[in-house]
Amino acid sequence: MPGVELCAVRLSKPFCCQFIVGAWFFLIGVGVSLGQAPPVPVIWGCLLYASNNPSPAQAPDRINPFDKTLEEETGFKSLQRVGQNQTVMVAGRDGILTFPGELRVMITNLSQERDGRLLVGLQVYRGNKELLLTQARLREGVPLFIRGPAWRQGELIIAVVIGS
Amino acid sequence: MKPFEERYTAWVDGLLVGEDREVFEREYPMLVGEREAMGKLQGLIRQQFRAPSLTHPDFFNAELRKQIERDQASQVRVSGQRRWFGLPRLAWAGLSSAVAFLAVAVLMMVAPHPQKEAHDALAEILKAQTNAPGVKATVDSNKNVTIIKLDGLEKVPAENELK
Repeated sequence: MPGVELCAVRLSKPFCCQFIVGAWFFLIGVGVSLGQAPPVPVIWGCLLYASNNPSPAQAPDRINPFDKTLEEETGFKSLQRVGQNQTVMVAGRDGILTFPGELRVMITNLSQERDGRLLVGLQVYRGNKELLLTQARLREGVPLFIRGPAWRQGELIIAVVIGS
Repeated sequence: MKPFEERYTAWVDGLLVGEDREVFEREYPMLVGEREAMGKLQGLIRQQFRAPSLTHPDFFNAELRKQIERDQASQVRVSGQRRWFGLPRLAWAGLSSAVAFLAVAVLMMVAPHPQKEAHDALAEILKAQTNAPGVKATVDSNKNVTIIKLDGLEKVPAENELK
């Protein structure tokens, strides 16, 4: 029977045809798996009061893995949550996180990249005044901290995390 | 009783004889003239369209036989190819691909998701700018956190209750 010589093994034509058909199904299956629509992203944010007050820490759980580094970077040893908010992103619409002190973060142009990271535009406002315009690549669960204005003996820090 | 078509065919070919023929011609007298006309036509055709006499009939027969053998061989090849894509083989192919797909799906579910890796992946700041007068934005991503620092902001009055 005619066949294909491959690595000193003679494969029959029916086997080759079967293999090719199977490979096509396999590739289609992989494509469907990879092409699944990403879940609707939820963006969570909180306003922290960083100070050296000897008050017990009240930082949210999702910030805990980073609070030591944040302490080292900011020089403040206490993190207290002043407010938190979250928004569900809808395609074609911006999201807004509002915090006490007339602070708000507008989330724009959210898109997912091939490596799973999310490209996002962030605008920080205090009242109607734009304080910051930034574009960032964020991973789910990895916070972005924005050190804001001073308040009392410390300063206000906004944390933005993708994921509910 | 034989059907008309059978009797008519036999009568035209001259195979209907004796009483059967007489009965048929009695039943269909108008066909008698028709058979005579057909006989004349057949005679003319045989006269005008005689088969050419072949000078080398053996060679002609041999070529004809080769052509027939080639046609038969190609038909065998086509039917063989059709068997490769037969229903059982397609069924096996579908089953094996379904198993492979399930295996890949399970592997993808079990494997650590790239988005849920440890928090060692920093947020990457592509752009950070401010239009507020006297305010400066700087990015610090030295350790496992990324911080954008805004210097020069007005203090929030201490008496403000942030709630």
